[in-house]
Amino acid sequence: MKPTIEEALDQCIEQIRNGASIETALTAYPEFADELRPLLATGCELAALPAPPLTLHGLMRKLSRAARPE
Amino acid sequence: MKRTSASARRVVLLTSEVFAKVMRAIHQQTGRFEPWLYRLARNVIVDRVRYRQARPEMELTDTVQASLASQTVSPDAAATRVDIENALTHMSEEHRELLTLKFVQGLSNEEIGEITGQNLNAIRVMQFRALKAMRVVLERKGATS
Repeated sequence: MKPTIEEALDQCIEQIRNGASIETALTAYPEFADELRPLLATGCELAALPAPPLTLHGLMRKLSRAARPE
Repeated sequence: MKRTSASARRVVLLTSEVFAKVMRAIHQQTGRFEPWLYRLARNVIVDRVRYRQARPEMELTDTVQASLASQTVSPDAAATRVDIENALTHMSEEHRELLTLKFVQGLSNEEIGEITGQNLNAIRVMQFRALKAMRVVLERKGATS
């Protein structure tokens, strides 16, 4: 069964997480490549952001944001 | 980072609330601890935000300025980071949460499902829509090449 574009995107993301380039990941989905390429590039840019750890420090920051006065 | 005393009190109250919930529910905890703790804290925050009937606007300045101050980055990389952080603030709360958990935190779909309660197919669909929405924002701001 042909994958949906959402499934293809997810598969490409997994491949990129495992070290593949965007173009390599897209070779399996040529019918979606033009639409998925910019989305994958955006995902890579997001992944390059510094990740606050999922720890008490990260939670405290989230709590701090939620606690800000309106 | 300075905070008003009222804001500091809110943080203490929220933190206390989270820890109280942890203590009440720790015996039911299974699987990985971090997603469980995150989900629990998230629920506390969601309840508080609903109570205040205010949409929390994530301010990019704290995050970006702190990280830029602590690292040496090229001007282009810094500009891209600012564009991305800024675009995140224009996402819906659901999209911003998913994009942050998936790409910034690097969680798997299964871990995101544990936190948000969504099934894997819903996560895949939202992931596609969130990235498209983010792309639209970036293009509107001329932040893409």
